[in-house]
Amino acid sequence: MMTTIKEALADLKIEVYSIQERLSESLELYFIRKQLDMRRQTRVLTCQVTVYRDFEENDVRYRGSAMAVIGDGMTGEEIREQLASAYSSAAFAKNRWYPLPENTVSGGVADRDEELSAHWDSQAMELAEAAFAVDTDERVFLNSLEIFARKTRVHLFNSCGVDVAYQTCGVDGEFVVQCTSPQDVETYEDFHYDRLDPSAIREKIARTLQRTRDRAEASVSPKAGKYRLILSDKYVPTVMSYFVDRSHAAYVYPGYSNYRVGDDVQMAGSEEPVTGDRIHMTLTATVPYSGEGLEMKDRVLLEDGVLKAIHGSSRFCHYLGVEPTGEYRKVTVKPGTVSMASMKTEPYLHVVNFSDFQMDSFTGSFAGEIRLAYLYDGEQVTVVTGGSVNGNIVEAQKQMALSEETQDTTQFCGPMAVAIRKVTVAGA
Amino acid sequence: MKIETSSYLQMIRPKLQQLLNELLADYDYVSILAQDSVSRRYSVSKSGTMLGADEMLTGRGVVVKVYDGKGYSEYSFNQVNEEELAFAAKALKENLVPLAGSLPEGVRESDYRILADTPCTFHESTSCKKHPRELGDEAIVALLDRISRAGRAMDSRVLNCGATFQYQQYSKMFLSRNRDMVQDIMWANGYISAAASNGEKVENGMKAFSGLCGAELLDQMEAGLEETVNTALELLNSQPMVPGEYECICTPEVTGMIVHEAFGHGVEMDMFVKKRALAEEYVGKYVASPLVTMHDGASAANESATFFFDDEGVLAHDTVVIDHGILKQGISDLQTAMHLGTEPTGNGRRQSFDHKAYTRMTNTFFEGGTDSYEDMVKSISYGFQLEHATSGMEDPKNWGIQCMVNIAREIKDGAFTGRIFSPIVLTGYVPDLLKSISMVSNEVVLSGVGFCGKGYKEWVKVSDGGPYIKAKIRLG
Repeated sequence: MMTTIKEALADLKIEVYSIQERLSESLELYFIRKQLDMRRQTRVLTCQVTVYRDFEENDVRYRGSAMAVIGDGMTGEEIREQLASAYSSAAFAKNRWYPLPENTVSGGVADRDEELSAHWDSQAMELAEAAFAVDTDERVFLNSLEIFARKTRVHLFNSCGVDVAYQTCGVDGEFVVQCTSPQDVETYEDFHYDRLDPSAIREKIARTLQRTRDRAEASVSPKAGKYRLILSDKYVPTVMSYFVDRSHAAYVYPGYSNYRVGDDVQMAGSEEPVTGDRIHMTLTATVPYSGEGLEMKDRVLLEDGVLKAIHGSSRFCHYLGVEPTGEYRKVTVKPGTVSMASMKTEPYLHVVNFSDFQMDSFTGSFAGEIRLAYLYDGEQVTVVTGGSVNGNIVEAQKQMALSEETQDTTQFCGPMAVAIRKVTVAGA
Repeated sequence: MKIETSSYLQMIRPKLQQLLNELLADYDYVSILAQDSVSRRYSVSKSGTMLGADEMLTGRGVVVKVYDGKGYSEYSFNQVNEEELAFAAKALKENLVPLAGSLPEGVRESDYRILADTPCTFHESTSCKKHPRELGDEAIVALLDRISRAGRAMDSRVLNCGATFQYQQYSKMFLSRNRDMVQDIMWANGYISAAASNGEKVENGMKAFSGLCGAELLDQMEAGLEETVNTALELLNSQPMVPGEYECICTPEVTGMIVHEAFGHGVEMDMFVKKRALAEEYVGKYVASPLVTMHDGASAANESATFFFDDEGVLAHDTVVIDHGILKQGISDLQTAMHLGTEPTGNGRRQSFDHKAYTRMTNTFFEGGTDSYEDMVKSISYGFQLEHATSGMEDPKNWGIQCMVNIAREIKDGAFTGRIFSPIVLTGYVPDLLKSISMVSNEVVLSGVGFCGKGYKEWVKVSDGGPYIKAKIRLG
């Protein structure tokens, strides 16, 4: 399809363009209890073409763009129509000129794990085997499980000399654990692995089984008030996403974020000292090239709470006068020096499951309804459920304590837990 | 004007019919759903102008479903040529169907009957007054640019003001041994957003527009600009909420979020199959105030989630879920209905041809009542009007509420005080909230700008809404 599109672009005399061709394959298994309810396979080829149109007004250079999706089955004439329409539309996108990535050639399909690519689909059933191996209790069990083994081949080409390709594999999905007594409750979890680690999924399911068992025993809610809040697992990257978003060029350029390289963003303009852990954060490359064709590499984002980089795509980075980095999907945060056991030597509310946990990177507000938490009042630990957390990272960032224990997923590598003082909790 | 049908689907019809016939030689039930979707999104703000196809809403493809005498398998693809059609048939026969034989120890295949396949042939289309393509990109961008610039000029504290217009036009064709159905649909959405800062914090306002229509939606948008900017500015002076239970008035948008998130997900009957929904035990019982009647259905309203048949070839319904406070029934996809022995309600929906069909809501709303909005405000001695729904999460198993709104507007002695609180988390037990509804306004407003996920994936277009309602709600 790439060849047909290039020919159409040449016919239309469209000189600046980028093409992203993606062949996605999946094998999907859907289980309800210990029964295979549905199986699916997909093989989908998509092609997005962005055409650019350069023009000048009052001595200012502009670069408009518009994207077209080229579908299989389109005739040559249809493809030309789509591209011509997009090129016409691009004239109305009056954006200041910016350069596209140039002269990057991969010379073949980059593949970090060729052995896995050869049998990518077998990961689905292997994951099922690992999952059901720990599903042995009649009272608390896997209610449902969805598994998606995937292989994706991406080819990026642009008119400025980018011609790169890479292939990725992975297995992801979600599961629900149910405990039927003394209360009938459930816990939802999802998972993402580049390469299946059977022991990791077994541990994750075993941990969820235990927490769901605990939730079935929970009958009281925390009283309204201020708590030292401990968040762990997937809620830690959600908290850290505030810093990633605020340093993104698309936040900085319109003024949503006042982050500047060299600022101590953890101090947030305050003169009060940081009493918690200083944050060290690295943007971590998970694919060899960004969607625009930029070569991706690990970059330090925060060092001792000081911003080291603004990140983002070509357009906004160019407007801000910084080097474009591409879009990152993973961050690595240096762990703290406090063990989770030490974190729990004074009173805390450790929330391990929210119905949903939201971080608003505009305002710094975070909130969620508590499904399961462990409350330590200085004397005993009580399992609680209900009520909601409502806090703000701007107030919390100077006194956050990070655990020395770590977690490593496809999107986050860093502390397993974070402790935040004086967070408001509304009782149920 | 009627929405035109896809010539592509007609072009590939003979090839798909051939694949259907080939598979019917081996399998008792085979269905094919083919789709051709085009979309366009226009967005103007201080950050620039973006326009072009929306990747998630644009594409062509096919999903084939077969019944092997015990269970169901699906294969999705989008290259409709001889080689790929042969590959699809081979994948189903040699890969997917045999998978049932390699399951882990102690795991087996579900045992389903064959799906009903009653004869049905039709072709239906929605209509619009003004097709966006005819209005043209230049006119659409010019209008959005005018809104964006006007918003940014309204107050020095406004950081940015964005205006977005988006539409999707899709055709779907469903083929089986006895069914041959085609539908052509168009919906449109618009948004105005404003971000304002007082130097210390950034706040957002947003107003959305939607309809089963085309570019005529743009005619409504400019009127919403002032309210959007004022919301962002007002929020700069908001205060944190003092947690507690309060008498509240929910705007139709917040009512819609409660209908959809707090209750609607719990009556998706695939959750009954998994024993994940408390609602199953409450069919025939009071779950809400007698003032509450709730509908869901693709034919229940003309909004963004309106269609003529679902992604499994079931005709659209208008399902009364709650009738004067009593839970009457849930909503279901085809396979779920067969499992439960109920009638399918036309709620089997896919994010796209390359996703599985699940039970999904469509247009979901409470009916209007008889109270006036003014009387509702006057009836509150101390409480809040909840506005600007931002997010919600379902909890079918335990009927816990988690919904978030951006504004709680204080009411004292039947009048607004001018103070607002933000952000707000609504919590509690769903039936407690629904049974506490004591007043219902006579106006019903639906909004179809959102996409609904099943958990955190599988996004489909939905609308929700209802009247203003007065209820006791725990806020945090």
